[in-house]
Formats: sequence, C-alpha cells, structure tokens
Amino acid sequence: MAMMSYEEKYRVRGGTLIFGDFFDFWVGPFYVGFFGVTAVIFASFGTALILWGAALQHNWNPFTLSIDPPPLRYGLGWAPLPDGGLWQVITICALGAFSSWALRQVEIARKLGMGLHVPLGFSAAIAAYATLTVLRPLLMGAWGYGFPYGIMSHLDWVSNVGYQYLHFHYNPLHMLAVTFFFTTTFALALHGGEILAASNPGEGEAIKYGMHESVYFRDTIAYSIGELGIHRLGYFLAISAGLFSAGCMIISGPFWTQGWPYWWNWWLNIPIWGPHGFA
Amino acid sequence: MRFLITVGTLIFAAAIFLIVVPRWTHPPIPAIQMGPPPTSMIQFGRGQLNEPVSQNLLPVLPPPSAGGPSATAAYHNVKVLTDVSAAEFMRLQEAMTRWVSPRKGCDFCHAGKDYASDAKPEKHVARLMLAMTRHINADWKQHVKEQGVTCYTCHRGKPVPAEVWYPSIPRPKHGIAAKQENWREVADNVKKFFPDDSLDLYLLGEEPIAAQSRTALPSGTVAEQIVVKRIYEMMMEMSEGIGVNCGYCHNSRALMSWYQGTPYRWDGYWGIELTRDLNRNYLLQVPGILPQKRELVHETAWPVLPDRESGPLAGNGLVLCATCHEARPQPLDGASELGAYPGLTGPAPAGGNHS
Amino acid sequence: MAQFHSLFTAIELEGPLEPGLPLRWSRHRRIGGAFHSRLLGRIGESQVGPTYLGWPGIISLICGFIAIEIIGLNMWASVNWNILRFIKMLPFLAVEPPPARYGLWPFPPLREGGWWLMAGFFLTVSILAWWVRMYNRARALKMGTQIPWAFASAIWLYLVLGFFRPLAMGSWSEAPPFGVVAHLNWTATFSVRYGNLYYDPFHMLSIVFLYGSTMLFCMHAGTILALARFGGERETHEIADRGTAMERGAIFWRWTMGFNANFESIHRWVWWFAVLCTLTGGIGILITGTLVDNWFLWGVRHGIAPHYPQVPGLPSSLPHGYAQPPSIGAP
Repeated sequence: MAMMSYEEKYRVRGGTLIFGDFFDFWVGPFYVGFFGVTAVIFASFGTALILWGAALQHNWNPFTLSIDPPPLRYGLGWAPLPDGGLWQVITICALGAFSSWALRQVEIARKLGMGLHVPLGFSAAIAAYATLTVLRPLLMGAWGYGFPYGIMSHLDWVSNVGYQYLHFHYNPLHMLAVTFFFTTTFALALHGGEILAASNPGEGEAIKYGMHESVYFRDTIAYSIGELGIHRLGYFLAISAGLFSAGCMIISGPFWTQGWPYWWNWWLNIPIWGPHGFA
Repeated sequence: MRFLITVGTLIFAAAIFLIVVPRWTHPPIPAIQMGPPPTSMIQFGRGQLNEPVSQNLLPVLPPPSAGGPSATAAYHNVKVLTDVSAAEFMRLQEAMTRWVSPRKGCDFCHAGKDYASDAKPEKHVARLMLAMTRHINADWKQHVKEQGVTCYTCHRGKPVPAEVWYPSIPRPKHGIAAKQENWREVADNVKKFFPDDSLDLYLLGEEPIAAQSRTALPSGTVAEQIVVKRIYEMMMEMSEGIGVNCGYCHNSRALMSWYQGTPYRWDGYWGIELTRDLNRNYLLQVPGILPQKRELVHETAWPVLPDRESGPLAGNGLVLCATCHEARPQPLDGASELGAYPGLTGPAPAGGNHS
Repeated sequence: MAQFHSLFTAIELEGPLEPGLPLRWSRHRRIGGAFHSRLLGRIGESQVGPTYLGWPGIISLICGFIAIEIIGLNMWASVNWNILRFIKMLPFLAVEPPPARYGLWPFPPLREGGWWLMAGFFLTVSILAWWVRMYNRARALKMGTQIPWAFASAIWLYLVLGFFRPLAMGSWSEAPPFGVVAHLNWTATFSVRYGNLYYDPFHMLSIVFLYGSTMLFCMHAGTILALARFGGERETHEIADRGTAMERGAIFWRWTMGFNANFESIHRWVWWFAVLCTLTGGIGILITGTLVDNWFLWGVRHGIAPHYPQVPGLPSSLPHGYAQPPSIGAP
C-alpha cells in the first residue's frame, strides 16, 4: 500500500468542488477526484497525439521531433491535422490537463485544510503558457504565432522571435522577468542553504532553529526576513517571474513590432536633457 | 502608510507614463511568414510606426519624339549622357531638376544662362551622380533588378537625401577615463544614438561580414567579440534601413547558414557590395568637388549640415541601405520610372574621371 | 480571500529587539543599533540589525566601494562630470575590458581596459572576502555552511566569465564589460558569435535549473504559506519534530503527483537546483570558444538540430567570396 505511516487519518471524504463523493477516491498514492479523471484524459489524449505526430513525421528522435503550429495563412481557423491541426488539439489538451491539475490541487488543498496558494501559483504558470499559445495568437490574428512543441524547435522559435525585435534584451518587461528569475533562484539558494545549515550543523552539534537562522542573516546582511517572510518573498518573486515573462511576450507583436532597442526613444527625449543632448 | 501611498502613486505614475509615452502599436498586425512555421521567421506589416514617406512618384514626362540630333551634337560639353538624343537629354535634365532640386531649379547646378559652363561645382557632382546612376542600373542588376534606380529613389525632391551618414570623426585619444562607445548623444532616437562605427567598417571599408565559425569545433575562424558587436550594429542598421527584422534574411538559429535563410539574403549581400562600391568610388569624391556650404544655410533649399559632421571627411554624406530604401523592403515599394528614362542606364563614360 | 491572509502581516507585534547570539572566536562585537521597521514587518521580521562587521566584511566593503567608485567615476568622467548627462548616459556607459591586442597583459593603458582590470580585481576581492564572511558567520553560529557553498557556485560563474575563460582564451577582451546596456549587448553578441548558445547543452541545463528553481520556489513557498495556519513556516522545528503541517504538506504533494519530499529534503532539492543553475551555466560558458566554436553546428553533428524545409527560391551557388560551407546535415 502506497500510504505513509501517518497518512491514514488524513484520508477522509469531502473537499471536492464538483460531483460530491463520486470521484472522491485514491489510486495508489494519487488522489483522483473529477479533475484527476479529466487530467488523465487530456494528458493521455495529448500524448497520444504527439506520438501520432511523430509517426506522421517518421521522426522518433525526441530532440528533433516538433509538433508545429499551423502556418499563418490559416489565421484563427482550424488547420488540417498534419499542418498544425495536431498542434491546435494538443494545445487544447494541454490547457485542459493543466487546468484540471490546478483544480485537482484545489480539491486536495481543501481536503487537507490548506490554503490555495499552490494552485494559485500554478495558475500563474498556466497563464504564461496560455499567453503564448492562445492570448497572443488571438491578438495577432493567427494560431501560427504559438510556439512549436519540440525540444530544439521551441528553442529555434524563441531565437527567431527574439530577432524579430532585433535585440530582445531591450524589452523592458523581459528585463524585469529575467531579474525576477535570477532573484528567485538567488533567494532560493539562500533559503534552502539556510534550512539545511540549521538542520545539518555538523557532527555532534545541536540542530538550530529560527533564532539562529535570523541571527545568521542579521550578522551577514543586517536583516533577516524571517521564516514566514522568506516564503512570502519567494512566492511573490516566482509568480512575478512567470507573469512578467507572459507580459514581455504579450507586448511583443500585438503592441510593439519594431526592434526593442527603439522602444527606448522616450529616454532620449525627456525634456530635462536639453535640446542638444549636451553636445 | 503614507510611505506606501507615495510609492504606490509613483509606480502608478510611472506605469501611466510608460503606457502613454512610448509609441505603442496595436492589433491587428499584418504579417508575412518568411520561413517554415517552427522558426517564426515573420515580418510584421510594413512600418506600423514609421512615418510614411512620400511614396508618390512624380509624373513621367511625355516621351520625346523619336529621331533628331544626338545630345553631343546639339549641346556643348556633354560628358555623361553621350548616348541619348537631344530631346531625351533635355527631358532627363527636366526630370532631374524635379527629382533633386525642385526649389532652386536649373540654377542649382547651372551658372546662369550658360548651360555649358562648368563653373558651379554642383554640376560636377551632378555628372558624378548621373554616372553613378547609370553604373548602378547597368552593372548592379543583382541588387536593383528590373526596378533600377533614378535620382528620385534617393533624393525624393531634396538636394541631399534624407538618410545619409558621415564617417566617424576620429575621437580624442587623450585622457585616462575608460574609453566609451561612440554614442551619438545629440540623437533624439535610439537608431541614430547607437554607435555607427560599423558603417565605416562595412559600408566604406572592405571588412568581411563574417562572425561565426563554419566548424563546430575550434578552427580559429570565430571573429572577435568587438567585431561581432560591430556586425550586430551593422545588421540592425540594415534591418531598420529596409524596414524588416532579422528573419527577413536569416533563420536566427544559424545566422551564418545561407541554406537556412531566405533568398533575400542574397539581395542584401549584393546591396552591401553595391553600397561599398558607391561610397568608395563615387560619394567619397563629393566633398572634394563640393565643399560644405555652411554660409548658405539660410537658404532652405540648401542642405543644412549639422556641425557634428565637420571633420576631414565631411561632405554631403555617404549612402547606406536607408538612403534608397527608406524603411521599405523595396524602395518606393517597387515603383519604377526607370523604363521611361533609358538614359539612366549605361556604361560609365570613358576616361575614368566622371567629373 | 481569507485563505490568503498569510500573504502579509495584518497585525504587527513589537517585542524587545533581539541582540543576537553570543559570538564564537571573535573579538569583534556586533555593530549598529537595531530598530523595528513597520513596513518590513508587513512581510517579514520587523527588526533590522544589529549586524556583524569583522575583517572580511571590512575588506569586502572597502574593495566593493573601490570597484564601484572606479566604475562610476570612469563613467562620470567620460561625460565631462556633467551630472545630467551622467544620468542620461548611465544606462549606456561602460567600463570595457582591454582590446584583444593586449592579450593577458596585466597593465594595459588605463583608458583601454586598465580601469576594467582594476575594477574587476577589487570586485573579485570584495566577493571572495564576502564569501569568507558568509562562511565565518555560519561557523561562528555552529551552523552548516550550505549558504557559502551555494554562494561559491555563483562565484564560479562570475569567475568563469571574467577570469577563467579569458585565461583559457588568452585575452582579457573575452570578458564581459561593466555596464547596463553593455552587458546586455555582450550577452547577445556572445550568443551570435558562437553560433547560437541555445544549442549549448550546459546552457540548456542552466536554464532548466533557473526555471526549475523558480517553479520549485513557487511550489515550496506556496505549500508553506498554505500551511501557515498550522505553523508550517517553522520548518526546522517540523524537521526535528514532525507536526501536522509537515504531514499535510507531504501528503498534499503525494496525492497530487504520487511523490513527496519532506521538510528537510525539499531544501536539498531547491539547494541543488539553485546551485546547479550557476554551476552548469559556468561550464557552458567555459567550454564555449575553448572546446566548441559553433554550437549550432555542434548540435548538427550530434543529430539534435531539427530539419526544416528550405525556403524556396534559394540560388544554387553562393555569392562570390563566400566559401561553400561544409555539409551541415540539416540543409
């Protein structure tokens, strides 16, 4: 039985969002629920379609396999399956599976009396995905603006989309998103290291608690954000990274089509610089 | 609380500023797909935000009656247009006036009524430019194709085309502060603000534009970092000049690969070669013939050259992609008058010295 | 939204300030008065300070100050000490490494990279001294040294970029400049120069760990915040003495994905993800230009470059002056 020693008392009924007790059961360690069923259906159908795409392309190399969005000429309509239609259906499956997964997390959190922070955070990631594959294509007027599903082909897509704007690092929201990613990872190293340092102080040394953790950071950087605070900060940083990533893409194309360096014209034209740029 | 309100207000104000001030565009965005779907080599509809330039060609003058004496027989001192009839010669003179100096008229080049006189240096430049135009149309078919060029392609009714560039002024070598990039601080837009050292290297010099290694493993063929930066700047200049993005020619996953790019990269390649030819063999001669006319800046028909363009190589500027293209993949969106003026195609005059 | 009350502190309690724990093997004392900040208290602890200085800290701050002064004064001098011009140009100004012709010569002219070498030297001393400080403080509190070792991973990437790779390539000019726009340009140029860094497998790994770290922090922080009502943020207590917060957190993930960490092991996961981000990133940079010159062609060699249909209309031969490229598999 795939149950942990203390798990039994937590396996109680209730907490479901839909269909009462009907799907309120476990399979092995997994909680099922209605959204577990939909997640499995979406995920397996989507995976099967990817495999079918591989068969159509006679390509079973996971690096080079690519399920491509339709060419732009199909606009927002349906494309034939081998010509982007697969991508469209797989996108629906992915969004269905991701949303099911988030809602399943809601049910599990309710069952365990926990807050809904995890599904909320996951929703930020789903929103970023939906921005790339649905929202931006809708604004641009063609599904062809979605990214291809392939290990290397999505990198090629990212590269080419970056060069559509000549130099993507000048995208202000991209700057913020990258900063959030780096800061999140930095804060994560500090937090992970801190907890490990407190709980693994070395041979023969007593385990340390919050007091030591706080003193360490006050001694080194004058401020310790504290046990709860670091999780608030990390949650904010991580979600911001996802949302600003989505933001930097939603402005690229629908609201800006030139090179991103040229967006900064306004900086050179702030009136206080004077009429001749000091030259 | 007061602090929070202050910070919140500032952030809100900054957000409003950044929404209102930059010149955002909005859907729908017309687009052209250049490459296979997974690469997203997509060109957005032409210049959403570029100021529209005048795309209207001037009306073609009525064709001359056939026959008649040749230009050399009818007029004195004809050096470039030696292969046209007198009627065609006059028609071309009239067209040139409208293309280049509609405000000053014939006086822009000619000294009074003596049209054979070579007194004005502008006339020498006009001969040089005419020879250049004939050379482009005759010898650079790889780039200009059947559309060709006329004076109007660049001049658009102005004595100096709107988009020209000037060789970098040598920068002082003294001082101990770290040397900075050649940012053009007077510029009011980022395109002009960027260092243009790359133009000296690639549109006047003969530096090869090759950044990447052609072998996976080290073979000593990678260009230096600073060289690649200059090439990057050159390519941005080129993209802006013809109003496209990198995907017009390249698949960015392998920028160096001719086989993954588009056929337009060949046009671009010949364009660079053409530009080098024009700058080195024609436009560099202009400052020698026609010194800057600073004393005439009060006459609006004359080009007003900013002070920053003074220096040993100052003149009436050199050409780059934008000079003809004005942010369009095809200058004037492909409209051509060349067919109506056969005198604009032909061999360079014998003797080598066009002026 | 009562669910999310744990996102900030609604009612702040203000107790006596914590003086800190006794220090081991140190003659120094903590400096600076401690105070409460209501604003910081909204999201974390309200107490700021006291802090510890010590020799590594003093060295680090002085060297860091010197490095920033070198960079800042150079930038300011280059705009003729005009303050407005300085603000306008600040994003674009830079202190660049020496040009390639100076190789690894340690004394290039000041205006041609001399300042860069000096700033880099002082910044490196500052960072290394800060590492000693992070290490000493952990030992002084009889704690583990996981934070300094994670910091060492970041220093590895920093040293690869500015020191090890230039050494391997034989030229300081290989290092990135100090400057806002300058380092962005350097990064993009570097990728172009070496034929698309996306095909660098260690760059791929680094990005995976960067995104993975962000995902893990969201998962972990979300779990802890969701467990705040059970005291889930007292992680080390839950490690030593499992309570219902730890049990619920573990079971949440077990039910969700069939697998769970515990309150200690999740921190091992996140520590490794964060550490590997810069560790693999450093490897990816170090082997670029030393072992591999064109990452795209490297990808072609190893069969990972997808095949795309050729754009129609390409001429059959290259323009004059361009050598026929070697067969690169993907046409």
